[in-house]
Amino acid sequence: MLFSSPEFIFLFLPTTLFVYFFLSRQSNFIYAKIWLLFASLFFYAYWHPANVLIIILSALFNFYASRLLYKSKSKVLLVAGIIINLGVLGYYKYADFFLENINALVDEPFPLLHIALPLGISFFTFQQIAFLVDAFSRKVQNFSFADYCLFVTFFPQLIAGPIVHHSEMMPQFSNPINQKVNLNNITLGLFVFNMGLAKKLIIADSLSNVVAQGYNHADKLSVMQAWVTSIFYSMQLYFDFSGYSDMAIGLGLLFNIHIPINFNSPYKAENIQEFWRRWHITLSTFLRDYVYIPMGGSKHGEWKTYRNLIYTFLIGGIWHGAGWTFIIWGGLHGLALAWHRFFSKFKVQVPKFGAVVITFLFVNITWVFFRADGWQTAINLLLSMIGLNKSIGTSVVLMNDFYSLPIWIAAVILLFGKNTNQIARNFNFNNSYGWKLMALIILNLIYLNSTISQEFLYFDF
Amino acid sequence: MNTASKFLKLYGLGAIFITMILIVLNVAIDFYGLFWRDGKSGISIYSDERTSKYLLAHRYVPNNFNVYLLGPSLSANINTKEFAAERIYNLSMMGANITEQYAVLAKALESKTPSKVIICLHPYLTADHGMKTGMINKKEYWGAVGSISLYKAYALGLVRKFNVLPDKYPQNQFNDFGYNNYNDLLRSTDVKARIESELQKPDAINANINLQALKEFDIMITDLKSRGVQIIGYFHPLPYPIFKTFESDLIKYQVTIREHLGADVVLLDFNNSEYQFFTKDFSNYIDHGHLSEKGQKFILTEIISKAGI
Repeated sequence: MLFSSPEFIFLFLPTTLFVYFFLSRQSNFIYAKIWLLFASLFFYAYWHPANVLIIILSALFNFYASRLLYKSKSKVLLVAGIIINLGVLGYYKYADFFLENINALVDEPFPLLHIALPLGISFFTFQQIAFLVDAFSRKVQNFSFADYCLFVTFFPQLIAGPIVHHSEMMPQFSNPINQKVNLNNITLGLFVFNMGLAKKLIIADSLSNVVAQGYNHADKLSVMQAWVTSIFYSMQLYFDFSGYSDMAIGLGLLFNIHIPINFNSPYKAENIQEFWRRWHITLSTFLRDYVYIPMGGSKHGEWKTYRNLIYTFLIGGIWHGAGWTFIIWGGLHGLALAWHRFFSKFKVQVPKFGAVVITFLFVNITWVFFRADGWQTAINLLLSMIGLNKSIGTSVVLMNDFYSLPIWIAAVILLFGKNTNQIARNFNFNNSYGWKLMALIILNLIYLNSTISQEFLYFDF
Repeated sequence: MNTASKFLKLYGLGAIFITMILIVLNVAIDFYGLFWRDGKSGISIYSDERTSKYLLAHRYVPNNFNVYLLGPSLSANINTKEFAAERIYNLSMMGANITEQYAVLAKALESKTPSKVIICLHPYLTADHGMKTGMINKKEYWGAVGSISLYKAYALGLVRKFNVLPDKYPQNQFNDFGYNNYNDLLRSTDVKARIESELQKPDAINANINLQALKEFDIMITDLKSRGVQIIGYFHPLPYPIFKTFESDLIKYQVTIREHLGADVVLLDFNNSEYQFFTKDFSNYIDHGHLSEKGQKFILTEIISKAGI
């Protein structure tokens, strides 16, 4: 069930919300939590019912493992817990990638397993690894089974993040203040959800056809077309993923749960380090706290810091997908971060505009590896971008019409204007926001009722 | 205003109220004759041909026409209104393959059975299968109460009505008989040169039949026959030099199609020697295959007289 589907918006969400607050008002709050837990599992099961078993077993295992860890502080248990989590993730996400690479080296290839990737497994695995590590370090306070399960399965963040941290979420689930209907939160939640929905339905989806056409003919594009393709993808990915995150944040607010922000105008970043403080913030935070710092972070000299940065981002790359293009993408970002750290020593001042452009160009070029379905496509598009493709002059129609031109222009403006968090922070019950909310609802309803592609890009990761 | 409750009531309900007004207006306009318009005065097309014909096939086409013309762009520009008394609706669509064509036809068949169906037979129709776009989509039915494609159709309706962009959106490109007059948009200045340049391409005609497309073609034919619809097929007249160059492939194509149509189907072959006077006369074409107005009139007259429509 997609956030942008009518069945979610008109059936699942209102029913879940109504029953949740009804139960929390009429009976013990635990029943409301159990309802929310079942609703979240139903939401997850809607795609592939069998996968519910995976998330239930994963939550049960990690809950009891963390209890044991809290009591025993056993490093062996921690390592075993992490290995089991990564093993499950590896089996579902990387088995075929591993076999493909082995097959490239042997004469008799192993048959591929073709295992369907359970949605959100990368997200809930990382969240639970963080929980295990913190249980081991005794950073985890008392927690109930219901709160833990809700932390893992809470439907707004279950499929594509943000990657929430137990310290942010579990206290909210047990806070009695959050048991009551809060119209302020509901109003703000509706506003943020509608902003996210508009980013997804109106902007990201209008860019997707051009991107798909460009990548399908990567070796035949003119220089201009190749740049349009890559820049449109940069915009599509931002509006798609940040739109999803906004919707998750908005949905959380409806239940009085504050989900952390995940994007903060990333393309305004003046360097690659700043970019990662603005893009997929919850992933960057996870990688920093649970990969980079445990590896030694910046405490063991410059070269080891560079190494740690590169390793961290290689892990970030492979987390996104089982493919060499993702590893290359992660590696390039790791190298760029190391280079930025090295270059920062010279204290060279680059004008703000130039810094933003350089950062965007780098990110834009690396997204080519992220989006391409294989190495060859990525290289073809990059060659097209510098006019060195094989079939230059072959005509490809990238845009059939220009009906979406106003949306594309709006997208560019929105990239550099106020972002959703800034707009939401200033939210007020005044006419200005009222009209904005009304316009968003009407536009979203029209787009919901239109025939457009609605897949979320980050569901693949 | 200072409370969330008032704010939500005013703007939340306001949004719902405006949405309801828009729905009521769109139903009142009933752009595709889906809800109440009987279409006796005719319903034309203004925007996407696929979506429009799919939606018109719900009520307007079956309720107002007895005969349908099916095919890709090669027949889409045949103006059946020239023979208005025969009530032939042109359900052909530019770039359509068998999947798309049958989806639109099936929708029309759901409510009423026509007496005859004319099929323009060209390898293009069965060269591939599957929907090429998302334009023929069940969701478009509800889209007719308010969607991007509906508002786009309104906008293009106005653009055409006031002749704002005559080169891109000519005022009378479509009519209420499904005619798509793209002639001025596609016409080559020198048809002979256009045909010669086409002949330079080794794959100018792909006469291969996709197996799945052929299955879908069979399903369509069986469906029509089971409803007692008289089927009239015609092999689209190709310019003589093109037919001659690809003759062996095209004959193979014709043999297969004849077999699958069966003996009870009226079949006209406009590429045989009897019609060489037509296929050798390039004034019957606007390019390497699409017919000119003169060509269209002749072909349609022939079909009507030979098939006894």
